[in-house]
Amino acid sequence: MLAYIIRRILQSFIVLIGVSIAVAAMTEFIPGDPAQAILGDNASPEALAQLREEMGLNDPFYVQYWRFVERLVTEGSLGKSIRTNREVLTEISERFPNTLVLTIGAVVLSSTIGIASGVLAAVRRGKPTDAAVLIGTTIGLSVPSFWVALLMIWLFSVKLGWLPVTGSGTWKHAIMPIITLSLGAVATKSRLTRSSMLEVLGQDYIRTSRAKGLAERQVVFTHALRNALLPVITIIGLQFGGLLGGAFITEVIFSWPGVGQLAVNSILYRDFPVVQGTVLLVTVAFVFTNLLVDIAYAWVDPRIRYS
Amino acid sequence: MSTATMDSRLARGARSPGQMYWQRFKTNPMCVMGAALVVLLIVIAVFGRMLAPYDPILVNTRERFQAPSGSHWFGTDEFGRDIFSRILYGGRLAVQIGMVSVIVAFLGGIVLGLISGYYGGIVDTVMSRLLEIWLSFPDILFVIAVVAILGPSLQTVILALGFQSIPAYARIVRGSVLSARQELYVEAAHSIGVSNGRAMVRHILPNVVAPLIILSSMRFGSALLTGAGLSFIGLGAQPPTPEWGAILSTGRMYMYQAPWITIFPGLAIAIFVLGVNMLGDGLRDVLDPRLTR
Repeated sequence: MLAYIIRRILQSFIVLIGVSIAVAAMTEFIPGDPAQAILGDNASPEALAQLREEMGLNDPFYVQYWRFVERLVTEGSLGKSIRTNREVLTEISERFPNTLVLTIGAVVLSSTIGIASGVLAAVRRGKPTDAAVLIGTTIGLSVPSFWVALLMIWLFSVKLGWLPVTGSGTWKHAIMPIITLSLGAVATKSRLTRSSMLEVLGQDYIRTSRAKGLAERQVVFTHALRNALLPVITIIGLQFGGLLGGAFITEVIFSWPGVGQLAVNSILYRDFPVVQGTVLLVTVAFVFTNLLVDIAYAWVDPRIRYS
Repeated sequence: MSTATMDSRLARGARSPGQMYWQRFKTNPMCVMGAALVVLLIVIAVFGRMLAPYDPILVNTRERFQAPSGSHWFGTDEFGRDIFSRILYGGRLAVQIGMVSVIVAFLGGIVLGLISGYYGGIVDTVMSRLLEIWLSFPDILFVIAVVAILGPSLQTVILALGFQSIPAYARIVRGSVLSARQELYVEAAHSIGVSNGRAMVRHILPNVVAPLIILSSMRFGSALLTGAGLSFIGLGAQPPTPEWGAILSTGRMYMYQAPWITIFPGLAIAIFVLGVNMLGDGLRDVLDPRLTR
């Protein structure tokens, strides 16, 4: 087990080095003069020269990358925002808890509904319930979540006045963003749970437990579900990491002050250091959750360690 | 029994894979309904411009915020533009988003996957690591990063969506190549002097077509959704382009007085992604019966 963990950590570390190179290289790919692209066409030559100096754009890439890593390791800094002149890391860490609230809410909500509906569909295979879940998940995967968000705002905020339109602060503000984020995730988990349950329910040990006269409820929940949930847990982990960085559209619609909204605003303002910072941190979070999921998986399913 | 009679028996009894797939396709309701919606989308993409009753961009201030009626089926927006015409024009963009991004991913994935799987060794190790780094950017973040570099536009989003999917294709191709390489028929092809390139294209590639078609149908739908979503938040198609997500984003500002600007483009996206997804689910059942529920 320890060998497996060390191997996975090393792999993740290599991936993170690659990711940091890719993120640092983002400025290299800006067509034309990056300083011009960031400051706009009306920038004075002095301002351009100063920005080039600050971002180290005059140096070759390996020098830039080394400085990027050095600054990150020794000062814990990702540079300063061009728009607010504050530390990028401060900007992001102020908003991170807000994104975390939405992510955790969406993971809990979508897992509850997704797993429950998936189990139901598997147990009632071929019956109307199964068909209803299939139709529901197909629609859930097809309807644009940002459109549902707008319809929810129209119904619950404008017509009924139950929930605030946008912003944050109270639990009521979080309800619609969490539902919006959960839509696609529910469908994915429901389908995966269903197919995983069907596979497990066909196993010999399930027949054995039925044959020895266990109640159906006990067969389904204690014997089948526990094993069927393994692949679902992987998806939950992946979705958690993905949602951490994937809340862009939802956060913009609801003016939710999270990392996604910060990234989108920074792109529109061409605040490049903040964009790089968010891309890097979100990817690190993603890689880290994947690592944890893999280790957890290997812990519950020893076959993984040896493959 | 002579060979001639056996041949004719085989011809009567056994069907070609194509016929078999077609038989399964016809009898699968998901497939048929999905295909019908996809055909409708393609018809709109090709002929939408001829069918549109109004100019999708022309401003007509006298007709602002008209509710749906006989002359404006889906109503008009804040510039008096006909929403129905804008949606018809947007159909072509929707198809472009899905098609171009899938083609980019398909070609890129096949090339990388074939090379990685066929040559193996150090080539495979290096490429697998690179793909791993590529995949470690969560879905939409990769597209966002590309938009940040190249600036917001629909073309950028389409290309980024394609590039984002390349690793998924490459992995499938690589896996299939690795297993196919062990097969006797590939070894046989080599022993009669078939070149590496020809062996890859003629003998190994056909094995991966089915999973790639299934993956493509899924990516088509998700590309449509992500593309529209990014246009919606201002990172994709820019006004006055009649892209469906972009129409929604103006609708959002007039939700109170003119909800139809929001309702119809959203419905258009939902219906066509639904069609693509149903076709994809159906195709998976048709092409890969092992996965059938």
